[in-house]
Amino acid sequence: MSTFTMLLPFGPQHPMLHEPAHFRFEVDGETVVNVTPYLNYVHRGIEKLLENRTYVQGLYVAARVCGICNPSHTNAFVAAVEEAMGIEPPPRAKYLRVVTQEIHRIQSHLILLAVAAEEMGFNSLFMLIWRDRERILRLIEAITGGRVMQSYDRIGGVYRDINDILAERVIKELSEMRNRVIQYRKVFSEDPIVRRRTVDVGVLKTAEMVRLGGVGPFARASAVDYDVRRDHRSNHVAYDEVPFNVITREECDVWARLIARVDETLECINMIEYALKHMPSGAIRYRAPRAAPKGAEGIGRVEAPRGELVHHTISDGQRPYRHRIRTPSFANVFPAAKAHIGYSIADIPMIYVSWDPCFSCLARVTLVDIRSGTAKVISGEELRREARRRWEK
Amino acid sequence: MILEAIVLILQIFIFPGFLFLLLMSFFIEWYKRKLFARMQNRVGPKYIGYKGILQPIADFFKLLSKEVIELERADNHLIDLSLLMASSIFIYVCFFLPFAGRPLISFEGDLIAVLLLTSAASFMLFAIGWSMSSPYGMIGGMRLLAQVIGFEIPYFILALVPAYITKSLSIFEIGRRMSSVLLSNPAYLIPWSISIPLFLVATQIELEEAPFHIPDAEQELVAGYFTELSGRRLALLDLAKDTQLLFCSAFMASIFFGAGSPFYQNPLLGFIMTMVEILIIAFFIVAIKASAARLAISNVLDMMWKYLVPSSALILAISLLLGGV
Amino acid sequence: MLKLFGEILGNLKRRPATIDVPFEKIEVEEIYRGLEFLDIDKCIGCGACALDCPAAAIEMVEFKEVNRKLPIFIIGRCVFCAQCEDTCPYEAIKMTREVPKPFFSFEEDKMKIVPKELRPLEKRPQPKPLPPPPPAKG
Repeated sequence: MSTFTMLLPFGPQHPMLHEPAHFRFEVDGETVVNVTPYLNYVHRGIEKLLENRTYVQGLYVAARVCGICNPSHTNAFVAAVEEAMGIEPPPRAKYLRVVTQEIHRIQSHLILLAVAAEEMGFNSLFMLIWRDRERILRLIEAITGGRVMQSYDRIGGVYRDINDILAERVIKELSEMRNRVIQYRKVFSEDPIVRRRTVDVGVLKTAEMVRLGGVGPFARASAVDYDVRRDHRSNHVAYDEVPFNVITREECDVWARLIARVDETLECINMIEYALKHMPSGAIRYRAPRAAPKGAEGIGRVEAPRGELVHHTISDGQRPYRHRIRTPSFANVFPAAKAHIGYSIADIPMIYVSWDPCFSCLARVTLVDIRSGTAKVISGEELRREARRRWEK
Repeated sequence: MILEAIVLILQIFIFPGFLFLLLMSFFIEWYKRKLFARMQNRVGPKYIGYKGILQPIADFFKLLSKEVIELERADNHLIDLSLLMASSIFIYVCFFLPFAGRPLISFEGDLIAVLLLTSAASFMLFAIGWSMSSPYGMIGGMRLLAQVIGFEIPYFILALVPAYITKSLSIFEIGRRMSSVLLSNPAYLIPWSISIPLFLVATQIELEEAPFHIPDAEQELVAGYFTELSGRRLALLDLAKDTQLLFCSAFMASIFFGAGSPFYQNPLLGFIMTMVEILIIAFFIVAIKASAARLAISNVLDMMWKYLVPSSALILAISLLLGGV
Repeated sequence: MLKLFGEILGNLKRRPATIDVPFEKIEVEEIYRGLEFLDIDKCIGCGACALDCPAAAIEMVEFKEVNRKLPIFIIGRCVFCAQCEDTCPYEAIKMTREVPKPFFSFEEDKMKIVPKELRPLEKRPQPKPLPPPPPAKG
């Protein structure tokens, strides 16, 4: 039986998309039947750039993979390189890294909540969340020196210390932020119009999510209990000493994904307060060697706001022989494509925003991962063929 | 005789006619944008004119000077015609409203005429979306049509409630008699007060403002039925939307609150009272716009057909019973 | 039903949160990484900063008055990462709080920070190395 399906393109330029990507939705009436993602519009050749720079210079190139989650990339890069060089930062630096990681996670989740409100047409909530995010950006500027590009982690430690006055200011501002976030949580969880747009939309059950390989709050909202901070012991950041809860939700829909992020934001505020109060004293940086030994390998696994981020580096003495980045948005493309199927056109923006796509992170030079990725793809032969065709060009 | 003719011509073209309505539309756009911004802790238009009051005029003239990009497959004559019809209808129906105490045109039955003309204007907006062959335009146009069909019936029925209460079908007479009728028969306060919020909701649906801004679902359909408009077409559409807002606020003010009709001898006092009522009603429209997310089209259809239509029919039935059929 | 209604109405009496740039000035934080400042009395012209700059924004240029090479910062290429500040063993480069102003031409010659007060070195500055890492545990 052949049904007439209309092709609805969400092209590289579209008000819904914040970064260029191309999604082809095949719709039957108002219901989405199939989704084909076309990616790689923002490919900048970062992995190749890293091959021609020393580790000291490469830190800043790796940070520019993504504008929102650049501290995660810096942290993962530093973790990989420190493992390759066989060094460990001082304890105070590990706590400071926790502080900057969590504070950037707050602003990334706030971006997502504001964007979700905007997709729902809730312009006022978008503006108000953006105003409150400005406070976090001021704090980030006070701690690290840059509002968007933090560049705070260095190989062997961190850039600058936090003195007591600054710590007091951070704690005070964050407690005001906590009240605002609780207010936003009330709006997201109780407003009937918001609930009508997000509850029972884009449902992806736990088994499906695990099979397709989702990561981050996107997967945790489908009751997949995995968080790199808790489950991966690493000696470059102090997550084993700072207590926190991993937020999982059972509902598996868009509402759960938004609420999971709001709750994670509250957890971040708690973690920062704990870390600032229990910070050990001492040096903030050790003198790191300028190159890793030839053939040394290092893997850095970090929980970026969108999920698990992996940097893998192999050194050839002075520079990386190969540096490979696997971003969480890439892992989330496949379950996200599945989540659209069966829901109406009106739900497309909400489902799209709920997996928090970050296409700057997405476009890497890949060959190996795609082949193993396509084996998991369920959107049909077409996606497999298209993906292979695109990457082999 | 000649003097009367000259006065009539001046009234038609200047006050309270075309020029006045044009300036009022721009003013109400500024009011809407400034209030919307302040509600979100932003600034709104600021630099053009005193506190940005000339901003809509500047936007209008800027858009007039831009290039119109026409689609080959679209029916361009129909687009231009529908835009002209929509904006001129909305300006024309404002002639029936008592902006200066006394409306320019008034006859028994002009309530029905005004309601029919505004339905035609809403249909013109759909025609714009339909004559564009892009999927965004067509889907947006069809969503608008679904909304228009749904809100028309409760809008009509609720507009008939004050008509029945004051036993008149002329907007001017309804406004003039409303306060005296309510004071003498306080039982009428019940249907009158319940129909006000319902009429506000129906107005919100007509204006396609939040939570019903579905045809302009920017994130899904770029801009719905006005995606492909540019240049002077967009300027005309903005003017049509602003005049629609002016008309809807003034209409609601006239038939429910009188809006200047008590001062029909005195244009200045009538104008001031009308403006105050319009600004208050527009305030509520903007406040709802600022505090609501967007509903999906299925939710809106549910709301219109399951709740608005039966409750408006009920209100009309109550007012008929109270007045004695 | 509309959860945000009360807050929306409350916002009407607050001052807008918008900062009216450029009529109002924004104060940058203390640690803000602005334009670079070279301390002539500490720079020996080793060129380590130029080697480590990720954007190749430092050029070592010979200055006769001081008899050595000094770094010139090409602002058009600089990403303000402060790696030069960290690399310099003599702490001769500091990132000031001066916000870089917009440029209206693409010529790189106009976008350079050239050291102005040129004095020869009186005495050799002392390098300040970072503490070395403790020996690795296995």
